[in-house]
Amino acid sequence: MIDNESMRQALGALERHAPDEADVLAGMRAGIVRRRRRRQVASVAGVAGVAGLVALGAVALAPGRDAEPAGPGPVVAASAPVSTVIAAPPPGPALPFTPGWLPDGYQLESWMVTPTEAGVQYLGNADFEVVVVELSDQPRENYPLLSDQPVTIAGRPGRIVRVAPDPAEQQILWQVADGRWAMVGGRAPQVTEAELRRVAENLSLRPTPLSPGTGLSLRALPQGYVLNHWNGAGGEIMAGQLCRQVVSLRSAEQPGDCIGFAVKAGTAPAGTQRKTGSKGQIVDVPVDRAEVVDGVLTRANADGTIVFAQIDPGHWVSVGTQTASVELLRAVAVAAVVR
Amino acid sequence: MSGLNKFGDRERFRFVDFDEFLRGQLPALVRYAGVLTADSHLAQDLTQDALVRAHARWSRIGAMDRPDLYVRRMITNGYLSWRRRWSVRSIQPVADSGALDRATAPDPAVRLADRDAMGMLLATLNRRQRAVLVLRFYEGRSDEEIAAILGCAPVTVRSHVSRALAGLRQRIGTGHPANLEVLES
Repeated sequence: MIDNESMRQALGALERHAPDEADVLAGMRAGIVRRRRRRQVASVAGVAGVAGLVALGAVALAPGRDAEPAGPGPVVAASAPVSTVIAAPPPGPALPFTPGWLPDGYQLESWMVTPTEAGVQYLGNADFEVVVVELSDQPRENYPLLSDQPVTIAGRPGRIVRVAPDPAEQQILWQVADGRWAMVGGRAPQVTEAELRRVAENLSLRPTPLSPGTGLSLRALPQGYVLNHWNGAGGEIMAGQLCRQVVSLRSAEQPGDCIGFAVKAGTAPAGTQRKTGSKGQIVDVPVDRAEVVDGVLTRANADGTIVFAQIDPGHWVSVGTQTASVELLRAVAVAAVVR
Repeated sequence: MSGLNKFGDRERFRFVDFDEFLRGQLPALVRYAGVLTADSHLAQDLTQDALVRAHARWSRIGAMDRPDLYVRRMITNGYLSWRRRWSVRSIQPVADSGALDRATAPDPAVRLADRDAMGMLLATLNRRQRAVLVLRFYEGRSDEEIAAILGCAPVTVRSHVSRALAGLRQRIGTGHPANLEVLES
């Protein structure tokens, strides 16, 4: 029998997924610096204190909660230059729409762009002030609804729905003039139905370039690969995925040779990375197969599915795959730059 | 100071310094995020993002009665947001991204890693239901506290708990490896 205590124990067993406090503090510090730079707001308090806390955190959570980080392995050899496997750089992402109106104070918080769909989350100043806009070549999948009523958006038929199980989540769904499917969503009462309607009514299909002054980009692209999606926060590109052909994010199966990459602030982990093993177990795998590619030190795990590279003093990239070659991962890692 | 904040709490008289807050709360926050997500990468991302945001607004948050509850709210809100589903897809390319909309475990294999039957069952819940159960059974929060964290009414919390437990019962009844009974508190 599972009683309340068993439930507590089952949940408590998941504590093993808790991240390392020192890593969290390091990421937090980098995030604060990035946020300040982006917003150019001179906050008075905190940086010195936060910097001190990073040290404190590192002491408090010293090495190896779950596994002792191993030092990087020996540098084996310099590989062939990236140019042998890299084609032209991908174009920068652009949103396929422009919001003509947003509630007062709302700003771009995060976004995701693929060749066939895009989504953006705008945040207001208060909690739960969130407006989401999505545009896709495909209609949304069926999902449980609490209510579904017809609505007219810019003269076109649509629906306003409340999504199960929480009636506070409202979405307006309609097909725009060029046949694509749009969704504008928010959570009541922070975002009213009237505000959602106004966002929807004023949504333009004019693209919005995401031309970040800062963020991740690739100097080149592996031959035979396309950008399957970019995503980022604010104006910055944070991560992306390369595949041999465009794959819908709604697809349950992603090709094994897709390559995901993400930039992270700080210093690459010394030698291990948590990973889900072939039988589902969580394991700490060494990422210590060092190789210099185009002058950049890259490190891979034994099966070549994870590669780390410190691309500049303040940033490192994590590149991963299921079946693509480790050479490609290393090439993508060293092609990454942060502006 | 007087008046009620968004949590229904009376704002406190002593300002909690951000550093002091981290010293006292960070271990519990990372554990909460880890249990909530069952994914150390996502938990790290959520926790540091919430702390960055909290730092920017600390003059207000530090004056609250329960800044710890507020930061949990930020972590939970991030977990429930659309953005996380996107970011996890790209940052962890080995994950089954399609499963992210349907279940809370980042990879079906992770569910298998939870050797106990209850862990597997929990991973089949949607994110909001899972958050409610984590707050209720792991953190031992009251309906009112959970409501403050989730931004809903206490009655909605009870509804979520009830639905989540009903979902677990249903899965047990359909041949899940635990032929067990789940008790509501």
